[in-house]
Amino acid sequence: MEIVVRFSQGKVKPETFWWNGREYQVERIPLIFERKDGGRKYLCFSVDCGGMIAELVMDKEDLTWRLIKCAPSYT
Amino acid sequence: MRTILHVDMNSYFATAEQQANPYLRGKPVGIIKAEGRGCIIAASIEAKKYKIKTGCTVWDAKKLCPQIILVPSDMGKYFALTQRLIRIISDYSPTLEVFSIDEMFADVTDTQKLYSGGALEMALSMKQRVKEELGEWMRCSIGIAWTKILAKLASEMHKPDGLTMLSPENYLEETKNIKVEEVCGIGRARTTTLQSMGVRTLGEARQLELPREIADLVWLRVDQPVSRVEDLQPAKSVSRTYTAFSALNAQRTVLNLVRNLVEEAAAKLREMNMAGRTFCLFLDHFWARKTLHSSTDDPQIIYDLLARAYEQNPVTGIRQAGVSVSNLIFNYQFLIFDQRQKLLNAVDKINQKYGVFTLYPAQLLGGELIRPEVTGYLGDKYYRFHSSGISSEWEKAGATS
Ligand SMILES: [Mg+2]
Repeated sequence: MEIVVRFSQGKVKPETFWWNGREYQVERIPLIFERKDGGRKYLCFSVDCGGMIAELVMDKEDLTWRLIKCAPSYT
Repeated sequence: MRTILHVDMNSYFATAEQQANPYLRGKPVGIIKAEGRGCIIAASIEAKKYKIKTGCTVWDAKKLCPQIILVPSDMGKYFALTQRLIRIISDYSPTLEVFSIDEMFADVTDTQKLYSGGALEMALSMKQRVKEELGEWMRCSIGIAWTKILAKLASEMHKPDGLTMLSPENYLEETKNIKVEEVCGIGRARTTTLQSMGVRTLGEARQLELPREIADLVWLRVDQPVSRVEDLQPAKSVSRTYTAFSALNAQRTVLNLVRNLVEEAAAKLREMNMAGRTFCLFLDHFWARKTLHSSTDDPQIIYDLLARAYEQNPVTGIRQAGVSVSNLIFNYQFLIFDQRQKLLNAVDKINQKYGVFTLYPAQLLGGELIRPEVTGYLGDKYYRFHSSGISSEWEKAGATS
């Protein structure tokens, strides 16, 4: 997945990503939290892209990003 | 007299989903265990208005409210928020008891003096921080009193987003309409006894001569100290259970499931740095218990033991399986030169780094792996919250974007 993120004041925020051939602008981030799988940690962002809610996940180890949930299955 | 706060998140799981997905806000939401499974495990504030409660079947919920939105539970998300809640509340008092995934007690007898408005002002400040750091949709009810039992009853009086303080002058009056079964400790058997005497509420029960033990509960005289995470006892047992969608008819399938559960339980033991001596296997109505002379956290040893027990009575057609390990002690690693221990440690390291079940026994190859189940059960809270201070700043809610 291709993604543009902003690192600012020690925080990271996704801004734009491309998924299934479409561009999505992140309009707001209602929730940020951390998931763990064994010792591997992931920073998860629930993002609102103007009607589509998705969960973007950043692997804290290698800084790769994935999209793991999105509407309509999410709603 | 002490001052105890009880903080209770309102409709926690459903509200957390509404926080994550603003399009669910203001709508009736039911949290289900997984897609296609039968029960509502939590209902949103809006769904509760349709009389939808925890335990309600999906079928009944849809009858009560056809537009209900069903969302599969996401325990990882809720635990992450609970960790953050613990951090917030622990800023107000070092004496904090995590009572369940969405409830905690804090003894603020001394720390409330830091606030000119005392415990009330403190509670308002907590509520503010919950909104700022968990999310603007998240809400909690707070009860303030001088014992835990009263603080908990107080937090239940006004929901959602309530703040209730009980005082020695008003508490008997304020609690007289509470149903007896709502008091922590009265329990089902005592409720039945009281009901058979025609008693439904605390007020009615207070009219009777009751045995001391029950009278103390009815008059809310029970007092227990707030236990802290640091005081928690290490786990007494570790267990893993699984319910299959259809009956398991082959012995091989049953054994593979047992192996899977043993792997998970043993990994948990090693994660907690513990080892066990007594091992139980449950398969529907069949069960077996084996005890060893010395403790182990090695899944191969545990599995061989349980598999032998199974082979003496190889039941099939079962749906539920469980493995439990008890008689636990801390593992002092006397076996530092043991190759097998080194191997297990290496497996754990790899699975820690690359994710659960990156490495697993060949016996499970090709089959469907059952991953550790994250539930709201806090049997391992000693382990889970004992060192919960760890977290980075950037993880805090970005309620604005
Ligand atoms: Mg609650």
